[in-house]
Amino acid sequence: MTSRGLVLPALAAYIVLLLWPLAGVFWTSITPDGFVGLSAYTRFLSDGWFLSVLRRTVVLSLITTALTLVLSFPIALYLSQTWRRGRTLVTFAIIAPMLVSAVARSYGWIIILGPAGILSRCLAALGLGSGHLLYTETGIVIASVHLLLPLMVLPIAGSLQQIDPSLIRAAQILGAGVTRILFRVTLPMCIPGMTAGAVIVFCMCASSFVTPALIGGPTIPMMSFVIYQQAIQLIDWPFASAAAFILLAATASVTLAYLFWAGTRRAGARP
Amino acid sequence: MSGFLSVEAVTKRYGNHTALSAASFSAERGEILALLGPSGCGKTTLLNLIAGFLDPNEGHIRVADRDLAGVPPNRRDMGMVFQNYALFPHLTVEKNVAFGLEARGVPRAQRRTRIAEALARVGLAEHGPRYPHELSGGQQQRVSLARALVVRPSILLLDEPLSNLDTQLRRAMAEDVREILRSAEMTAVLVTHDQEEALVIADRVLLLSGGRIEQVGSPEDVYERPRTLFGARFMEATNFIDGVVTQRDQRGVMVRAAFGTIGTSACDVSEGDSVTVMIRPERISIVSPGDGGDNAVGGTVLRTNYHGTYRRFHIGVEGQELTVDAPVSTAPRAPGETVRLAWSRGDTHVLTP
Repeated sequence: MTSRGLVLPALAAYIVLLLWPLAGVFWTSITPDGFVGLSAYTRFLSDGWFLSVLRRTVVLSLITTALTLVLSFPIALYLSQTWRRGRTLVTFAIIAPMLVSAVARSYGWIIILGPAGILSRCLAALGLGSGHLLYTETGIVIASVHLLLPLMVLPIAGSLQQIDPSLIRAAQILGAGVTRILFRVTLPMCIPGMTAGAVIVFCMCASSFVTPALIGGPTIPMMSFVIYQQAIQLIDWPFASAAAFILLAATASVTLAYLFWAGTRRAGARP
Repeated sequence: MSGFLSVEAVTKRYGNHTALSAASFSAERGEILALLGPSGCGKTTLLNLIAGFLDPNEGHIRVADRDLAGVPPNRRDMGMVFQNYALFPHLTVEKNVAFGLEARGVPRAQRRTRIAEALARVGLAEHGPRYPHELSGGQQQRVSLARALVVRPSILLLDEPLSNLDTQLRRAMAEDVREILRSAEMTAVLVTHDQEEALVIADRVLLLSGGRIEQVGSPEDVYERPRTLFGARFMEATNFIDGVVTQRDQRGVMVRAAFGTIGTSACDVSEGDSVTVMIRPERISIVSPGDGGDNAVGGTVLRTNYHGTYRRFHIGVEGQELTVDAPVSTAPRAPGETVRLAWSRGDTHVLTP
């Protein structure tokens, strides 16, 4: 009863700051000509170019999520080993991208990925072509992984730290080697942290603006860039609102599908 | 060279602190050994050394004449039951029990029968599909036992296996654990701080204190005939009487104490030595005036307490207080009443300091 009461201020803030503006955006999207109608939505969904932007946004976000997941697990494993001396340094390195302004960080990536950048020069020196990664999908993914890594590492490290060390000992004495312990004990017990991290990274990536806008630019637009263009440059608020809601629906359905899958995999296991 | 498990002069130090110093003992095949002692006595260190979770600074641990130095825990062919059970929370009971068999590459068909067998042995045949958190503490304990036994380890290690259970269940489980280990003909090393648990489960008890083995013996030996003051106190003995040895005879020695001379059982002291003598409270009887045993004294009742299974009398004898645990059928005495106490020389033990 009292604990339920304590939720009320947060709930009120949630309604006022999130649901109310969201309702406003939704209203704008369904009243394009002053009358209630779905013309903004049908325009988006019947235009091949807009659909390709939506597909790119979802696909690149999925790739970014998968890459961060793969990269984060070893880092989190390292961070969860309390006897490691370099933990503080690694933690700082992981969190650092979040401490730098998105614009400054993205310009850093522009320098690295650009035609005169170190990456392109290395690729050229190795004879792997003379191209560069600026204004490419690969470039967007690289910069996004860099930005979003901490949001995946931290929940997984949290999950790892909660694993009772005696479980590892139990597995050892039962005859399990390092690999079996990793795949049968450590990894399955990290699923809650991985689920949380994956959902956060996917949603953050799909809705991020600065990084894809600066690295991908108008050549490789993502949904957030299109919404910005429609709202700020073309002043087509109803269409921008409809695009925002389509993006929301897309990320929500991917997230729910993933949560459902992760939920059925751990059905019955300790919450 | 003797014994199936043999621990030879094993020492473990943490910096300046010596957790275990030159511990040696051995266990025969099928023997159940208890490492008993208070926290910090080195018993858990010793268990972790046998399991391979720690490496000794000195000494050797052998199983069937194979030196285990440098052998990692997963290649020691041992089983372990943990204090908190350490069941895998994301796996069912069946999968938990299967874990060790899978790690050892036991074929699937054989796995199924062995899992069923192990779960039946601990009385949980129906609980295979459940998850650990759906079971009670006692049931989790049994699963943990089944998981360790199913791989038929050469040695089973038990780390305070019953300390998370409530008193009643702990007593019942102690007997069950002994039964299960016996029927599996398992060589086992049990670590516990609970003397009753050690006495019920083990064939032989090692009493540890401050990183040293104080005494090794059968449960009766360690309980009835503690060698040291520490051992006696740990076994909840009372009645420590200081005195000087006046003479030796065939049965033991005569000790002059504040309230008279006491005859003791056989011991290794000489005339003139200052010694402490111990008599367990249940070994002293309240007798009628004129009756007596090897040793007899008169005293005054200070108070009487009812303990359910016995009645404890506190008796003042010449300024010293003796405690006597008598059957509840013994009538309580009022404070101030004079009584006569008697006990035999066989129950009077000289402690080594």
